[in-house]
Amino acid sequence: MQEITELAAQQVEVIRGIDTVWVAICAALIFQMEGGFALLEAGFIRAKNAMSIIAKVIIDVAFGGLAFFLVGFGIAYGASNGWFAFDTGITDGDLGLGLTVSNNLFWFIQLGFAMAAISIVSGAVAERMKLWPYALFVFIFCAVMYPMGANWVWNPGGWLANMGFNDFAGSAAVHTMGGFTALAAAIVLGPRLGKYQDNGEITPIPGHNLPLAAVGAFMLWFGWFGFNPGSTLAAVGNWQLIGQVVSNTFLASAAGGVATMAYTHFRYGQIDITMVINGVLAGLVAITAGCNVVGPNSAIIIGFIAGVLVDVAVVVIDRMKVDDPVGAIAVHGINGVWGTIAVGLFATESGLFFGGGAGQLATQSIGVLAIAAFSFVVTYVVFQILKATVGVRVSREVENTGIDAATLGIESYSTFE
Amino acid sequence: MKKIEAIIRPSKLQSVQQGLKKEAIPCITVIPVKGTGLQKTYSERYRGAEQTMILQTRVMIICVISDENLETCINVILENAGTDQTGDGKIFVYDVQDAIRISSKVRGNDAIR
Repeated sequence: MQEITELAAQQVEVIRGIDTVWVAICAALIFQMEGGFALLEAGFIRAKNAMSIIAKVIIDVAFGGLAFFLVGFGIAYGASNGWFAFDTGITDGDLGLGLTVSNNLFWFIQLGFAMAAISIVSGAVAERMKLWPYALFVFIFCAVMYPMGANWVWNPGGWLANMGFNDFAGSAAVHTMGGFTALAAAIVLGPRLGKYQDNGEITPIPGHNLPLAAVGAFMLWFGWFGFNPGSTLAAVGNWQLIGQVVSNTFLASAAGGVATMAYTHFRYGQIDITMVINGVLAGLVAITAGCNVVGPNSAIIIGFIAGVLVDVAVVVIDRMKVDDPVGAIAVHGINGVWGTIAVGLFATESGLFFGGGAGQLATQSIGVLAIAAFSFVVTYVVFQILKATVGVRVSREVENTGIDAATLGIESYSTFE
Repeated sequence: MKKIEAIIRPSKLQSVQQGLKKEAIPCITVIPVKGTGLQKTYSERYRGAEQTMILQTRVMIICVISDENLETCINVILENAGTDQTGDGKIFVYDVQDAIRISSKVRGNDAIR
């Protein structure tokens, strides 16, 4: 009898070990997406501000990470009243999620999601936002705003979780949250100098190093294979699910790339490769919510529509005179909403197109609209307060000279050698 | 024929270029340059060490024009490139002996239109 107990205990240890290796690898893959964000955003803006965006992404990681430790994790995964929880540090004990990994490792992989969400914002405020006020906002976002959304969606007591809302790896909780935060931030900040002329003309401000941006996009693409499959939070017992998630993630991104190539070719007569980069990312964002419940054909359709949506959205957002230097709002905000709603259409068990009725679709729509509205309104208010107190925008002189030389005292490319 | 070399702030390039185009002077050459004038030096920090940056980043616009366009061209640059501060740059004017358009082998004033 004692032998059986010992064997069972050993088996639990083995399961925990395997799951820990899996989640730790995925968490590291998610973490390196920050490098992807940094390079993508640096490449898509002008050389004179490239180091400032690197600084902003480091702020996302450093300030955001500490904020998510101090209260963020407790607000997201403590005992929830449906809307939020309160706890500090890395909460001890059972979180009600059936975890087979330690709470510390679960904290670290969740931190990756929080940092990804705020890094979406760093691109939209590029080339014109002051660094310290940005750091303050990052702290607020990762300590309160993002954790509240995560609480609704992923905490077993969250109100959306209890409605049967399906957001596997965060089309709503991460990307819609980040995208609509970026939208409000870009509106309050205003456009970069010289972007929109008085006569209504729009002057494109091209990025200074497109291969660098492409490398960043590939790093994000690579990291997504930790972002989505890692959300299984366990390897043992999930061998089929992980396969489904990986293949869906890839298929949607490929379809997003194809769609954008085709769209830009037929619309503008040329393939717009900077847009294709965004098309691939749009496909990834859109499949993030439903990669556990849709089939491969549906994944391709979801990614394809995302690839077209992003092209239209970039142009529409520009016409609205909202200056988004890297296209973060179109990629993450618009396609986060699309991906979340797509679950209600394409899920094999509950989707509208598969005979599941409109119930899931309604739940998905309510959830994603709630998160979009919450992130937009709170960000708008916080940014207005920051604007009135510490100021959010660099001076005209600093913007003309470049934030790097004027406020950081360094330039990316400073000498002849 | 005259050649103008104007050293201006990079942030003023766009408005100068548009101004010249509006005055039917579309052909310019732009070079990124570094140099030093009367403006005071500034310092940068590189991994903790302070370094004095003597050379400032500017752009040089090179533009060959007919004699009658000279004052127009100078005025456009003066109107668009200034911030009324030291460091706005300078304009140099030279005489040009000849100009040849390579594609059509036309010479003189016809080559710079």
